[in-house]
Amino acid sequence: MLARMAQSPGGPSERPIGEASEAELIQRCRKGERAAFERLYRDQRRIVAATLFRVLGDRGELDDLTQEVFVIAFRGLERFRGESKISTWLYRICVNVALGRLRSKARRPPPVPMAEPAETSPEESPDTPERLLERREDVARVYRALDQLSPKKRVVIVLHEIEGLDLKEIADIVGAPQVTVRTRLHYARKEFYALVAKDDGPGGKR
Amino acid sequence: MSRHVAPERWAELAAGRVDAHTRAAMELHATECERCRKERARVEQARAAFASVRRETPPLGWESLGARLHWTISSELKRREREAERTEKIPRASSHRWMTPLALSVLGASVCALGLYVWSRGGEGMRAQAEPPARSSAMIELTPPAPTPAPPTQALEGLVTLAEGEVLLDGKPLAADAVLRARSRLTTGAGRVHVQFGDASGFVLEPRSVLELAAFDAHQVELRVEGAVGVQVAHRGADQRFAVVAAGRRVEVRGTIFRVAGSKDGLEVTVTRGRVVVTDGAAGSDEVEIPAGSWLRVPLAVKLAGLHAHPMNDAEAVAAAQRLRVSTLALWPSRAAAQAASAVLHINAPAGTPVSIDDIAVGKGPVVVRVPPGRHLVGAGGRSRWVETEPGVTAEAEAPSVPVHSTRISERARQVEGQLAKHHQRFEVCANRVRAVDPDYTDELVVEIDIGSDGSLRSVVAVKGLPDQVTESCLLDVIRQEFMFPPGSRDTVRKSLRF
Repeated sequence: MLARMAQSPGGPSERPIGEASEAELIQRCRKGERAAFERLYRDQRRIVAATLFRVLGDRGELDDLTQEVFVIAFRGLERFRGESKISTWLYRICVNVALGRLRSKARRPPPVPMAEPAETSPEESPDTPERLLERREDVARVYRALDQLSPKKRVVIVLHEIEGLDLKEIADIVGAPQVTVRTRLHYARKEFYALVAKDDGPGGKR
Repeated sequence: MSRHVAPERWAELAAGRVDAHTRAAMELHATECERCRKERARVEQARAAFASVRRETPPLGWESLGARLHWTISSELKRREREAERTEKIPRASSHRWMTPLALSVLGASVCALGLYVWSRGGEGMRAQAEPPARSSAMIELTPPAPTPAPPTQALEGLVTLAEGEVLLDGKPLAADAVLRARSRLTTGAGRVHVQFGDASGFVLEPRSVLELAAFDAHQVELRVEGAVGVQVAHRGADQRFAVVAAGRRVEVRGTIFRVAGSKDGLEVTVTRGRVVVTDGAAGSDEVEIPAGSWLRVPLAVKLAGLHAHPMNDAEAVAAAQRLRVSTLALWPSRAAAQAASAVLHINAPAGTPVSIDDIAVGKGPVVVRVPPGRHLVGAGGRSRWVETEPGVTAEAEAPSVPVHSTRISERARQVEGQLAKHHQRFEVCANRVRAVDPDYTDELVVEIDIGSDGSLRSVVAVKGLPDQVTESCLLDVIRQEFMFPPGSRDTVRKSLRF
């Protein structure tokens, strides 16, 4: 029955999937409509992969972990009450998957801090390759420092400093009181900037 | 301020979270302290780098990831559907549960009534019991059932899960939906064929080999082979005998994954999991046991006595594991159910062209492969396209046209060559970073550049990357930012950059 519903194009009252609101999208995903879940995947895949990548600093198993996040999301749709945004809910799943991965790894491989470069907006003048190289080095330094933090500290600093989430959202994602998140963030920042300040590059030549 | 400034304070300063007085003191200290100046610069660079990190997305194969997810979700939906059907049946069954005590009560009452009736009829009733029973419906039910004949041995059936190149079944070209039964005979030319006959059980017949299913049922499986076969037996029945006969010897299976190659020179057996025993076939003959991770070579005229298995080295173990990978479907309730629930993809790729399904290499064209239904990314010769498959249906997939390694150099390939030459110096700048450490550094980066019909760069992907990710990204950035193309045909060009 679910599969039949999944394959059905939707009832006459249902809008095309591209125009569905977030709540409607979730509702249609719950019904097992594959097109709805595909849209959810298309809309959120970059956020999910980027969050995992930032928390893990390693793209070795990123495909598998991204898939895992979406499968967990699919299975957990019934429990998603819609009280938070889909993205917040997916952040929570990402963080749990990434923390599980970090804990299961006795020793993490060296970070691979490379990703597709951000698109340059028309008004920005494109960087020269030399400038890009410098930018890459700066990014690499950030990942090297993140890689030395404990998983919990890494998560809060990624969510706050990079994702730009506030303490309340982070507390919701990591399932800890705000005061705990604030304290953790304080120590994480202290440790992170100390590592950045002392970083002499991968070969210690800088 | 004479004391050094803690690095996180520089971050707070940059974020405007320190008061004017402290700010002035920190600025003053920075002018006097080289160490703090350096640390401040690094902290500010890191803060600026957050913006870059925020805008970056890891390069994933979104389409292939989407396909994998599509499979998983489809399987999940099917599982839910089955569960829903099951739970629909359970209430019906449970609603009948109350019938059981009622039926027993009615039956008990009937028996009592019958007893009273018989008692009331006295001797007449007794006589009636002594007489041959009349054929009434009640009496028929009481008659013990006739012994049923022993069930026939359950025949096994095999399904082709992957076939590449030339394969014959019983002397005729192999049909995509062919079913193998006892006495079936498979012959391979340059190709190979994978057959599944149970849950995670199957075999792969290697090129230029012949295999006959001499016995193929629940009690006995006997494969007669000229050439080489890799066998994977996941769930052998407790009383099932499984043997491969090759080069005049019999290989009795005690375990799971092994390869048997028989030729005019003799027999070679490799076992990666479980164990097998090689005998001369006759009862009481010599035998040699081959445990997992070992191999045995038996020249044709040599007696088994005195021979023993040799452990595999790492390279042999890796080669054996690759050779013995039998393509099997994840779900195998039965041959018919597996056949109905899966789809066949017939990929008409030119002979020898590498073919992949969902980025996994499956062999060389033409290829017939059994897959879970749904959307699949079929790749051939460096190009790919989506193919929708339906359960129980054979989908024909023409190979994506114009292989990248075509001898004819396309217009776009020439343009890429031109751009590479034009920006050669830029690439050298990237490589010089590593050359500063290692002056003899040389490497190769293989990239795939997808150019749109309007001349835009649709994607630049490193097919074979570099160990140093910073250099690799620098090189890719040059392509993304510097390469310009005029409008023309849409094409994907694969290039190797050596420096």
